Amino acid sequence: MASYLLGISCYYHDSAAVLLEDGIVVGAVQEERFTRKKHDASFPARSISYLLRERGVTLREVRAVVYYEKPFLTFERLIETHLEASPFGLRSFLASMPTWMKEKLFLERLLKRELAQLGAGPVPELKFSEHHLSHASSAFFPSPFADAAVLCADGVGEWATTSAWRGQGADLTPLWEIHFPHSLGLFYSTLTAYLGFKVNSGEYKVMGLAPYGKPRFADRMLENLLQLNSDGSFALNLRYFAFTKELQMFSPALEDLFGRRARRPEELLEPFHMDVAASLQLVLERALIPLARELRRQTSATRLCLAGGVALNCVANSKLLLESGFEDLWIQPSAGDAGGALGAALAYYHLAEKGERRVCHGDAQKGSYLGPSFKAVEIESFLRKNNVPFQKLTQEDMLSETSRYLDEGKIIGWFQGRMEFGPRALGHRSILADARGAELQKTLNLKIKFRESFRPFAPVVLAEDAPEIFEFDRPSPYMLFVAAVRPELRVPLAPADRTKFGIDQLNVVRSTYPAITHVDYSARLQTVSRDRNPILAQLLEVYRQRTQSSVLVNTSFNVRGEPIVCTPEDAYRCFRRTEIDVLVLENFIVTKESLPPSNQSEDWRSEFELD
Amino acid sequence: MSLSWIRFRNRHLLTINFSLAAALVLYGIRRDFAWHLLLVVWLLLALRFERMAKFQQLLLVRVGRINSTLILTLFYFLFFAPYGLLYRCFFRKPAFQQRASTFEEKRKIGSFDRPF
Ligand SMILES: [Fe+2]
Repeated sequence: MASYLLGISCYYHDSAAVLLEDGIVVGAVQEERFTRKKHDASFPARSISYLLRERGVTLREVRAVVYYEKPFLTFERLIETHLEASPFGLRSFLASMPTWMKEKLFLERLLKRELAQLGAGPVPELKFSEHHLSHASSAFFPSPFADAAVLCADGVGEWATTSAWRGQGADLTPLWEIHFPHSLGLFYSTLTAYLGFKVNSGEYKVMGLAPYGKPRFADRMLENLLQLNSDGSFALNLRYFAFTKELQMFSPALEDLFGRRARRPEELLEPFHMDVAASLQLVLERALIPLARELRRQTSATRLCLAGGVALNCVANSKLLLESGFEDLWIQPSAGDAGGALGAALAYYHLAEKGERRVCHGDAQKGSYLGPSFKAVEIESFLRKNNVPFQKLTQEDMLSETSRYLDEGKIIGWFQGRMEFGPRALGHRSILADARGAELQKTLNLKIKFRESFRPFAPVVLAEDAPEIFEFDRPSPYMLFVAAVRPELRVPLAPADRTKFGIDQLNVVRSTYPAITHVDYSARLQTVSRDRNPILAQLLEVYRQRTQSSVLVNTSFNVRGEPIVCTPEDAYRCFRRTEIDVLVLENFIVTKESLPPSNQSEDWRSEFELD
Repeated sequence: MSLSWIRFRNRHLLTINFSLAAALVLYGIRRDFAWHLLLVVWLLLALRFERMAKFQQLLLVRVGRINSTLILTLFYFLFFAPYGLLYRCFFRKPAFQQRASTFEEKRKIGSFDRPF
């Protein structure tokens, strides 16, 4: 009989649940996908219910539930931080203590109560994994490596903000940690807040903003904010950071250092902000590379695994690949705390229960397609119930129709198979478009995603064609690396375009694929192969036959502030509210032209808080 | 637990508890029943009208918040901050101190059986 373990992460941000069957991940999903509340931190009741239902098991059959961190250690860190800040940290003390005293200190009881509400019968045993152990396990155990070094970097877990491990077979050994308050994640988040973006979601925007600027503040940051030690470790200068004693991330000293007050949300982005972003990105890379090199020296491992929120920085990942001395790199696609649920369950399975590990070719993450899927009969019944005119096609015809629409410059809402686990849409809940269109980036940003227009879109390309288009020699199935567009595909800039500055550079055509080429010729690459994502690979093949190109724009199927769509209903709603031209739900096609004009007012936009 | 008891508890228990506590406090302060009639009216209204019960709940949450803020503030300045002085002298976490390296060696992982 199969044995089941459940991993959960919740109560901070991005709650999630993961189900293991005999140590193999069979399902993983974030709670926000069901509740439609971005970064939802509540107990993942709906995720757990879905996972059990999908596998046809009850909670009674689950051997243990593993929580992704140790709440008492986090509380210890909180108390010591307040002691360190006293007597100047009253506001922060008052803000954090009531929730701890009411709920988080009694987390074990709270979790058991929540689990009890999910089904009849006894609640499974509750286990706790350390936060960074959860990250490290999520990076190593699903990786394709039998032996690797593991580096985790995030904001903060219990005490650790950065940790190093050695993974061998089914074992994972800790080596060292760097403790709070010294944190690369919090360093990046603090500057993200200074630049007027939201902490925990705006970091990705800052990374997208960086190529517009010049890193002229990098030295100033290294002299004042982040000290890089000769042994590879680092330390923050707390004079500029307020998160240890205030309810905000930075102190007034940071504004003095740059001679500018912080940017307010939605305020105009100026070259100054771009230069700060560029400097921040460079400093992050300068801090990460020595850490990885030190780890390489200590372990002599040739492979590196990464996890923790910092590992979502694909620009830094690519630099690590080039400069850290490791030959290969695998990054957990759900590198943030949602992935902690996966790591917690895997850690318990391999380290506590001594379950064996089979190293998979490719990896054991299954393309990260681990969430809900919908049968044709469910989709058809939804469409009929809502009187939506649709075409029901064979898969071959659906692919050829979609490819035709893409070639005509139409924007496609693409909904196939199991939903992605992790923050990126990897071609199962994606908006797809032709990458050759010069105006497409603007249209997609403003009419479909309703967001700032400086952010680049990611290309999705057939793995076998990728080396001809990008300077990158390996698969990138999880969109966690950037690669430069090959020089022969770049377009020489007109003299007038060369002098453009800041956001004005956005509309300059730089390559034969302008929609995916960032101002520094980089692209956040996703490669697709038939074994991991057969349906998208087939679409790209059909599209290539038609256009001689297998590159498409791939962006997540949602609007700004909304979680990625989960159900056919979510997808249809998003399709109706935006200027997406065609909706493809498995083999069903709905076109905007066939629908009456939408009578929805724009009030729905207030439904989602801007990220 | 029967459903009717759960319903009764969710809907009315706070109202009854609040009225009993207020009656005792009022008697303790004034040593008479002059204001208790008003309390009975309040009780009847809160039992009868859900909006009134909701208002009462919000009021109590606010009072509770003010109370906990006061208590926590007193605790912070009278006990916590003085202990903070001791902490910084004798028990300070190395991570809060200036050092040439911030690496902390880690040899083993904690048990999965406990939340610490
Ligand atoms: Fe984390």
